[in-house]
Amino acid sequence: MNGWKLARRLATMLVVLFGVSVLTYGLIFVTPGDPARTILTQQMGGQTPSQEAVEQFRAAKGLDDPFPVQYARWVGNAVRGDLGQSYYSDQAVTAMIATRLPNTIALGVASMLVAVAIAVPAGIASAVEPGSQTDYAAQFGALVGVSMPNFWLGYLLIIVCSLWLDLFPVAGAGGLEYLVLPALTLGSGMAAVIARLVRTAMLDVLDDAHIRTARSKGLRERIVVYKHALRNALVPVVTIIGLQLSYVLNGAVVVEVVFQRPGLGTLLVDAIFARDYPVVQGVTLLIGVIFVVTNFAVDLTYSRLDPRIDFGGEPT
Amino acid sequence: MRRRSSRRRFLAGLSAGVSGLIAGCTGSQLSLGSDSGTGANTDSQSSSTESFSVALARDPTREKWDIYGGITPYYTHVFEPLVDTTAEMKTAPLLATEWEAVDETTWEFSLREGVTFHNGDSLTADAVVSSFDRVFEQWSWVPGWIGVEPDGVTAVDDTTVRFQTTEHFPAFPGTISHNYFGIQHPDPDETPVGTGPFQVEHVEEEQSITLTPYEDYRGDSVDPTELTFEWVKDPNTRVLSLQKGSVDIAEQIPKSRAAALADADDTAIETQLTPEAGLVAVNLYTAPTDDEQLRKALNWAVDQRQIVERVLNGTGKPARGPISSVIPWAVHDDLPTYGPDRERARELVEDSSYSGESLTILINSENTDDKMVAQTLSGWFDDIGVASEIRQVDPASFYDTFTAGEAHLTLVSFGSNSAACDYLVRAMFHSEGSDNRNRHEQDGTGIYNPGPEVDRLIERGYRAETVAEKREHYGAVQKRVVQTGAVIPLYYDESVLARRATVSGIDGHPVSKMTDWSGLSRSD
Repeated sequence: MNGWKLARRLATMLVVLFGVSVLTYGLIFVTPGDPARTILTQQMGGQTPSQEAVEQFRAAKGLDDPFPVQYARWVGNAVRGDLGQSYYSDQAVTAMIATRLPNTIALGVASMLVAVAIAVPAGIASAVEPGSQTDYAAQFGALVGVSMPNFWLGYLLIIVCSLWLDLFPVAGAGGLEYLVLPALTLGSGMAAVIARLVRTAMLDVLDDAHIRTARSKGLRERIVVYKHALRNALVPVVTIIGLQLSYVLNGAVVVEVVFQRPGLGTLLVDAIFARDYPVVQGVTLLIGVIFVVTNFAVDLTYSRLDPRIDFGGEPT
Repeated sequence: MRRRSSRRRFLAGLSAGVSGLIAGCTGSQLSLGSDSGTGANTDSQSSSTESFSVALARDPTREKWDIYGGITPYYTHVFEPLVDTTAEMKTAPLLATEWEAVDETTWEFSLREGVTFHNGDSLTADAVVSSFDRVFEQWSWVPGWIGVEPDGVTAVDDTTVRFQTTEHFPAFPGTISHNYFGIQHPDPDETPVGTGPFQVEHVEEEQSITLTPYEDYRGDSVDPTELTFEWVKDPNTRVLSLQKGSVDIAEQIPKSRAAALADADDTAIETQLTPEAGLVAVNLYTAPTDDEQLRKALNWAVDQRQIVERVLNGTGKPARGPISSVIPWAVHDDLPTYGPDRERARELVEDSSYSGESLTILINSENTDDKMVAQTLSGWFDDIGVASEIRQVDPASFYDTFTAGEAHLTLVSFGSNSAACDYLVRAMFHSEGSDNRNRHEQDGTGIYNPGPEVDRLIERGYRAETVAEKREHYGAVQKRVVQTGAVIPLYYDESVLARRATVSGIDGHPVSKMTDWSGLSRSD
């Protein structure tokens, strides 16, 4: 990695984030729906607000200004670290994000751990004995995991693990016991995808000459699989784990609602439905940053796993 | 060797870091004050016979209730308005014992004596003025709602408050019976201070509010020693929480789950007719629904009883008109009924100018019942030879799409959260009402406003001083819109609240947000 490449990469990240903010603001602006009426209706407990009230709300929030003016105002504040205030609650968007981010991070990390803990052993076992009962069972499990909607699995886990077995609370946010079912719900879908990829990558690597060489040297199969094969199979797996971040954020929307976890997913969806522009912009920008940084981290990991790969993911 | 030990250290460090991260993140919740978890799990609370928990569909702390000390004025009965809303949706004294219109735009309210805030201070006219000032300051749009400018509330003496409305507004006392106008102490500290039977014990931001009885309350004492309102957004999770016993009461239960909860041994439901009516707003100003014959045909095709029984699972009441029968000036019993008679409907379609166009039925994607209602209607319309297609839009787009006149038929439901329901008929059927104003200003039309004659009736009703007068004028409006097919009445809404079978004493209210919890008790 050199300084020039790093600077170029950072510049690209800023351009991407600018594009994300313009697109998000523009798209939500042209989408039908008046934030004033939507928010007032919700605040008044479902009662229809009067036209006068709507007009006064619009004026107070600057919603009558044209798009460029509103966007420029938002960007001007954002570069100073001020993401504005929610139209809905008047809370600072940064504070709202800060409150919910830990929950989403906890959910994301825990579900990723669940996914990797299930997927890697399952994928390896499946690849080591292709066509065996273990392989079929793992593939069937992966198919079920991919096919099962998050919300459905969430309710199923609540019914079985909470109502019937009384092992975990139904919902809420608190200690680790509140994290188990959401993490299982979100992690199982990712596990299915990762397991299939681990299997494919391992099958490719296990056919390589260096594995035959290792076996012919008399190395124990465990050493061959875990030391020589797995490491080489990990490059595409790391890629998919990075890409699964989008799955975490998408899945978090559903899982956070089902398990009543206050997080970024529910914050974003509520803001979109309420046309709460500052919150939508703030959360989207954060998600953009997370994506860009994660991709950057994945690229760095490539070169760590396989020194032949240059920084930026390009083979030397 | 060096690399291996380095990797182990790296893995150990990573493992410790991840564990720490999760612990840190989950711990951040603990630091907010939750030592036993929050959200829907309150087993420890439910174990006490005098502590109760209620699962709400909306966050009781989120919606910028800063002026109320951070808690919702709905449900909690921490704050009381000057005027009460009775079970008959009429006004009644609460913090004010009486009020009178001094002239067309001036109201004077006499405060109840002996009322104290939760901190022991007495209720005064200055405190009422201060409370309204804070609402005006917080929400710039409130003057447009209640017809009072920010400087229009003054203290006449210690026990009399004067309100100056911007125009003649006989429904003003009912308007301020809304929970928004609960009176709060002029100098609130960190916790909300009102005059109601419950006072705030603890607020868990974005999660829950815990209340305890206000011992010096002037009225009857309340039975629960502790009452917690928890936010459980997902309706299915609310039901599951109730079934597990994590909460004692769950509001806004999906109608599809009501029967199962009623039949189960350990749960029960409570229903209450609300001031909300579900109906189809028919676009009078676009072809082919501008043809009265076709509109009547559509009405003859609809079976309100089947909608209530099959689609709404028996909750609700078949409607004859656009205004819920709970509202005092509704004329449900005097309205004509159409049928159903699909043979007659087919004849009317034949006689109309309808020539096979597909009618758009607009629905709000947030309302799951609406989709089933729309599908049922579409089937009936198909049966009488009228094609239709359902257009589902997200909640924020729905109202704009509706008022832009983009649909022939729109499924809407309107109700009131206060004793002032006049705005309903005005919003729906007056040409300058919020539903029609957009199109009326553009091209002189509207959506389902029949025209100047109905506008005049609404204006007379709006100025009427008595329920009888309102009933006369608004009743004529209801008859007119039903007779001309400007609406297809569907149902009067019933709210569904589920409880543990051992819990009793819920005193329901047409405005579910005013349900009284003070008599809650639990049997063994």
